Amino acid sequence: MKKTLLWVIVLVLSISMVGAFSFVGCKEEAAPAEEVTEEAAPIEEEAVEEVTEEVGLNFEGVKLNVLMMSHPPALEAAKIGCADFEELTGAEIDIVEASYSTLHDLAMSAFVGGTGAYDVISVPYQWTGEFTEPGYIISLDDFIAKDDPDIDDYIPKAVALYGSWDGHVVELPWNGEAMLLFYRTDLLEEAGFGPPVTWDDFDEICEFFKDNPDYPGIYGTSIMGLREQCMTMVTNRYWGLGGELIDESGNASMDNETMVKALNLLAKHANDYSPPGALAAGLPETTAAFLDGTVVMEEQWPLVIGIASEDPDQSKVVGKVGAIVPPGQSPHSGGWGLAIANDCKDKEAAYQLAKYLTNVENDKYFFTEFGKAPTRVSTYADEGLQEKYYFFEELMKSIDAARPRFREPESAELCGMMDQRVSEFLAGELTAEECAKIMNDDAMEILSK
Amino acid sequence: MNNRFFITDSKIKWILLIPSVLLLLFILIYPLIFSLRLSFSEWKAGSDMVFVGFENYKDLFTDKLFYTALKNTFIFVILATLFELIFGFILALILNREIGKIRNIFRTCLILPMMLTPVVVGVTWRMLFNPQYGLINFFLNITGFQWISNPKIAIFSLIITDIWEWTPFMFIIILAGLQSIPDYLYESASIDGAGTIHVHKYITLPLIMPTILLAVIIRSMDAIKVYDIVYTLTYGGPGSSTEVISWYIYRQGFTYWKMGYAAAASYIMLILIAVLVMLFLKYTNKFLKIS
Repeated sequence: MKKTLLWVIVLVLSISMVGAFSFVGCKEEAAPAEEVTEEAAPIEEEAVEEVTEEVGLNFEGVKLNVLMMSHPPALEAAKIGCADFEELTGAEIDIVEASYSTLHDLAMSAFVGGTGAYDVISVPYQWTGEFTEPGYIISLDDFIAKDDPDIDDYIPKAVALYGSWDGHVVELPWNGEAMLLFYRTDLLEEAGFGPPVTWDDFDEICEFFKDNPDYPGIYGTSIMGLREQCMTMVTNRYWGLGGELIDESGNASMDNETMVKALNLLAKHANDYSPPGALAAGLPETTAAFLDGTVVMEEQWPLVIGIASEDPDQSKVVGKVGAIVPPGQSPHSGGWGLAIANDCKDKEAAYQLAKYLTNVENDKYFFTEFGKAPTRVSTYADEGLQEKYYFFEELMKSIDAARPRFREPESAELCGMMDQRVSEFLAGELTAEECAKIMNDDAMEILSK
Repeated sequence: MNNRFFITDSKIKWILLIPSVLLLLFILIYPLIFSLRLSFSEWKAGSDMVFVGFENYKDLFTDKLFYTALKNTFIFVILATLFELIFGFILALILNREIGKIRNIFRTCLILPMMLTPVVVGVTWRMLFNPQYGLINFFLNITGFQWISNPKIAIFSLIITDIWEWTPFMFIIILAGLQSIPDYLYESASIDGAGTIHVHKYITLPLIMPTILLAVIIRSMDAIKVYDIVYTLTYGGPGSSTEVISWYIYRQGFTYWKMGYAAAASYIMLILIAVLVMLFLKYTNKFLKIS
């Protein structure tokens, strides 16, 4: 009897373990994703008529599901934009929001499972290849030929990076970002420094502020050492020092002196110049530290700090912040476009929604109203905006200068591998030399599969 | 009338069980077999499942991160379950006594952490652990102490969070066990002059041992699957210091879409757990016999 009981327990345990594996993805889906029901934004009648004329379409009875990154400015913009589109065309839109890492897994689960759960998806450029090669998202060439979304007005770099794959346009650029270095103008001026142009300049400033009794509680920088941010942080340095992740022949190119130097720089910046807790600090912690006035310079996604730093409700450093392309002038590129899923039932409606959300008027409106990063040349050329936002011109420069992380179909695995290895190095599990070699070997192995 | 047209009681019993058995086979056994097949295959997004023999298992045994994840998981499970059991037991003993109306208030408050969404728990503790602004360092007067960013401490920070969240589970189960012990046993022991320690050693503990055993098994099974607080607190870092098996399997399966590899990792884990539980049950049974 006892033996039977023993085996029953073992069987139940076994099944639950396999169940854990089978359902862990579902659990993940349930936690951070959130269904959003938009309230229709009030639109003035004249404006409605004007835009209806422009949209000129009726999608009564059409339902679209949009998978959107839960990046606050872009998400808010999408909510309002979708509500407007609903009112203008009669379509019904549901937005599902997901964090950066969750979005990939949700999209892939839907694609592989063939659930058709999402029609329009915000796709960061690093997943463009992964989604396009198996045919999960479609080419927009025919739609664009028929109904031009002013394609020439998108920033060319944005179209190339988060718009195209293999010569075809597969996304309409939606959110254009590249890392900027934000710095305290008052502190640098007081200390007699200019904004850093090289990593040596950066180090010199950090060293000056380190444990400086004249600046108690002030840190030179604040590094995002959380594992999911490690690759971004190291590539800012590696590219800035002239390194390449993959060489011209498609081989990994990370096992070199430049990578070792970049890794050591990152470790120094995280361990010596950042506030305590850098190895677990993510975007919220580092942003809060900068806005609290305790950090002199910080590499950050531009719209996170850019708008908030000028808001007295959120910032103690209003009017004291400048922005510049990070040292080395080869920052990490962000940015994502709006793609249409292959299993979308009404692709025309989905295309019109993507076109509407990224049109010239909305690009400017969403930036001024919510701080969503523009992707249109005309928005960046607006002199009024250039005057109003201190970081605007630098953002355009940074987008132009920025380098992409991997775009290969294996991108998710390559990026995950680099995050992991750099984090192991920062935690002291690997030396810089070992880390550079292992990353190179791992990348070669992933690319060769 | 011919008897063969009638179904006997014993037969009808089995016939009525058939739908349930089929359903169970479909939802329990099928995934088990499918996962086993998957563990011997390579199945990447957008491609067909290809049989690769023991390739996934071979790769697993050469992956240092897998061993680290196993090690971290066992540290997490053993320490978290042990302390949850100790704290749950002590709390249950205290709140099993007649201490007036305050008992109900305490009981309700104690259950609250378990009711919270794990993601909320993780985010809250992330703020509490902040080295500069976190309340824990503030109350302990140790500004700058790094809870989740120090690779040597991070796993213990996860354990602390889990203990806070899941001690109520142990508490509820053990309290239920305590309340099922008849009062007359304690009264008899008291008449015989037994002290508190003797009462708990010879009456309470043996009688609630099956309950404790059940609670430990359920809780450790759940702790093995820890995922949410890793996701919200550390992302498995710094380095690989909080890489646990569910997080490892999830990333392999759903981020990198190496489904076969993830399935193989699940099966290795499953075998290890099965062996451990069998050993655990065997020794506990011996202990119960002696008691």
